[in-house]
Amino acid sequence: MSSIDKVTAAESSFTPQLVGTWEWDPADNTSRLSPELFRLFGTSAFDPDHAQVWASRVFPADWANVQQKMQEGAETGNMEFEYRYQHPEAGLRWLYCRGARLHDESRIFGLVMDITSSKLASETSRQIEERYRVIVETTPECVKVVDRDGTVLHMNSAGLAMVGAESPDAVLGKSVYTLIASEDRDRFREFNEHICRGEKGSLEFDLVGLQGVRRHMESHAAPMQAADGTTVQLAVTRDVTSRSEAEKLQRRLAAIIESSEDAIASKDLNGILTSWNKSAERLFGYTAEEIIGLPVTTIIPPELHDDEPRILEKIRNGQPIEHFQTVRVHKNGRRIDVSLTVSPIRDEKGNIVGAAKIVRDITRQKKLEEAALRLAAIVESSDDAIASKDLNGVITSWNKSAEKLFGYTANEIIGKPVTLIIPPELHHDEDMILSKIRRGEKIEHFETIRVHKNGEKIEVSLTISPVKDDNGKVIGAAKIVRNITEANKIERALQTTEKLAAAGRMAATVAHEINNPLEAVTNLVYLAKRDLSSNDRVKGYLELAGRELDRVAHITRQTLGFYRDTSAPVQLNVSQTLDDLLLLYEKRLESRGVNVLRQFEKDLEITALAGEIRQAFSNLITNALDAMPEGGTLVLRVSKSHEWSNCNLPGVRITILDTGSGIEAKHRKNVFQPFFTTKRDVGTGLGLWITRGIVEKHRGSIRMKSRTGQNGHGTAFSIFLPAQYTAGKQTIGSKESDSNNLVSARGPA
Amino acid sequence: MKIIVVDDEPIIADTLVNILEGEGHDALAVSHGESAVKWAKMVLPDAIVSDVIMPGMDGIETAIAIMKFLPKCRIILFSGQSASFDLLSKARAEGYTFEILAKPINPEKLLEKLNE
Repeated sequence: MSSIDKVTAAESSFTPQLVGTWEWDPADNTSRLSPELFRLFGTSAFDPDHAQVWASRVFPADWANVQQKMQEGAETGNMEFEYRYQHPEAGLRWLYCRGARLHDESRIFGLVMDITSSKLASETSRQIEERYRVIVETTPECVKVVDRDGTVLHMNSAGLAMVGAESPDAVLGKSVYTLIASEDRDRFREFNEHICRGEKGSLEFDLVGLQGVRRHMESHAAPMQAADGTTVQLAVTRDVTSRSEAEKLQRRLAAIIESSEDAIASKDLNGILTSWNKSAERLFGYTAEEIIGLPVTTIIPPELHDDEPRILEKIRNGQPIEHFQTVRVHKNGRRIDVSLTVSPIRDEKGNIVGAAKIVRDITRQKKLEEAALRLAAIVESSDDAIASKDLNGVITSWNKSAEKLFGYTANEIIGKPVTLIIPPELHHDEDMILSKIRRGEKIEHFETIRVHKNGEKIEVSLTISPVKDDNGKVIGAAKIVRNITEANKIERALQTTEKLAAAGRMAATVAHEINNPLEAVTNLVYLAKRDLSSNDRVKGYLELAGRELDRVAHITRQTLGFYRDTSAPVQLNVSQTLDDLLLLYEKRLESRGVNVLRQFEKDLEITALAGEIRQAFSNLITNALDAMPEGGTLVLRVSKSHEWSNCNLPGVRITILDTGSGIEAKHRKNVFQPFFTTKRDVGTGLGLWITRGIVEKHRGSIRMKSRTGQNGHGTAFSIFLPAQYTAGKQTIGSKESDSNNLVSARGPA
Repeated sequence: MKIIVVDDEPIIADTLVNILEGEGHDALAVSHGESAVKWAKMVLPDAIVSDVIMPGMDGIETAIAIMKFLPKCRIILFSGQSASFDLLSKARAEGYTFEILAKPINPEKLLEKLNE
């Protein structure tokens, strides 16, 4: 059933027909033809051979059929056939012949009609229909006709294959909706009704078919008038499953590119930009609209334009460029540090047609790198030891100061457990520290003990902070270690000095109470000795008592600083002063067998408080004598000199040297400390302290060297006194002098 | 030699007087600065041996007062307290220079000093 049938049918009904009639008696082969028939045949009734003429004009291919039909007609009394006939004027015609025997006669009556026009029409329509049928059948797309109710009226073989039908019966006359994926059924129904209302349209839907194989289809449909006058849908439907997959992939890729943090652009081999994503817009300030079609040099700084041909050359050779760090320009002229990755783009045949480039803004990264370097430099140059460890207590970084403080190099210790520098008895500290750090807590100024590589204990103050990753998760700890050994020593020294100062103040307040009774007793002993001189034993006792009192007096004088000079500073001949003092000790020097060696530069004078200087010298000479109970040599040296640390300060150096046993190394740093003595029985522990006090009061300095070795032992004190006296600080009980001297006293030791 | 010994502690003043007298001096003990000045005006001593820190006039004030009318009188100060030295520097600022001997002073040294 097709529209073509109807068209030809209508046409033929309007064509005027020429009909001829005939009588034929097969028994004697006589016939009579109507005039219309002669006209149809183009023969003449007067021609006795007209039958032969007719026979000769029958289209040769049809002659046999004509003869057969006529013979059958003669036997059965019924005939009907068509044949082609060469009309002398009208050319080749189609003739229709129908004949029947009336009653029981031998004659057959019939008619002949020229059916050429109708025949041609039907032939054309048949050919057209055939052509369409072939087209429809051979098209790879599904062609179907569906009526308003969704019944499939027609479907080509491609369509049948698509829906998985083994024969047309499986589909024709059935509902089309069962073939559609359930979620698309309503849309398809709506679409079908829309088309059947006389609209054109197209639809994408999923087909499940009879076998349940899902395909994505695209249908283009038009309304069509059916034979019964209803409007049906004629649809051509294409399987776009693969196309839609590719489209999806492409869309996904496009979305990825569009949403990428990195700027992504492409260019052709002439360097003309062909695509430009959102990030590229953000990074460079140009919109895609603005820049697509412009040369890529738009974003390259002028001095780097030479780069571009090189990049293009590489791309033409199919070589990708990876992480190429360079500089590009923002629309506003600002330079951007970028990392470029450029890859060739190939067409389907593999020809390189352009380049895709991924541009990463590394300005921030560079800044971060610089900041990190700067921080690293700060950490490295910090005076505090700075180290880090992970949550297992494994050391992960170690700066220069840490190397200095603990003696381990970074190479040695990184990767080792931190317990390496913790004394074994404090290993539990580490557990406490780690558990605090894991909780994200900070530890500040935690004072503890650590161990140097050489085993020496170090007093340290630790400040430990958790190190967090980007997500805020604690991944380790950074610690700043401050060596407080020195600070603690000073602290302790200060405390000692503080105590001494207090003791000194107390002593001073009670001095009067001690010195007055002592004065009285001294006087009384003197009187007793004078008045009891007749009794030798008593006199002996009193002399002993007097000597003991002298000793007490000596101690109180030294202790309480009563040897302070009571007079103004005077010109003092240094060697003369020493000579005078030596006179006082003459007897003791003799009795001990001590030789005195004087190495004096004569006539050196200083301005000083004579009594105090005498006290200082006398303390040193006494110490030297005490160091040589078995005899030895006392060397006194006086020379012109200047201050150790200040060449512009002229003065005199006095060296007092003994060949005694020397001071043990462990005691050397303490000799200037108050109450420190190696002379258990006779020492007050104040002599050197007071001596140093006097020297410093004169703005001088004192140093000591001592040796205890077999091949040379002894102690040398060297005093520098400036030529001019200017009152210096009061030193007894003063904090600064003690802390200073702690250091200077250690120097020469 | 006529000597006045000044000390607020009588036992010190008395024992010193005793010692000085034993050496043939003519010594007199007083217990504070004011009486020292009073007696000095009367006896016109050759020397004054005085404590420094005393109630009332201190030793230096006493010495200065006496030096005003007895410029040739020898002054020997002795003290058991470091505070004395502050007084000394004050006196020095006023133009007087004194030597202070520390207590306890050996009697023999005192005698030597007097004989200088």
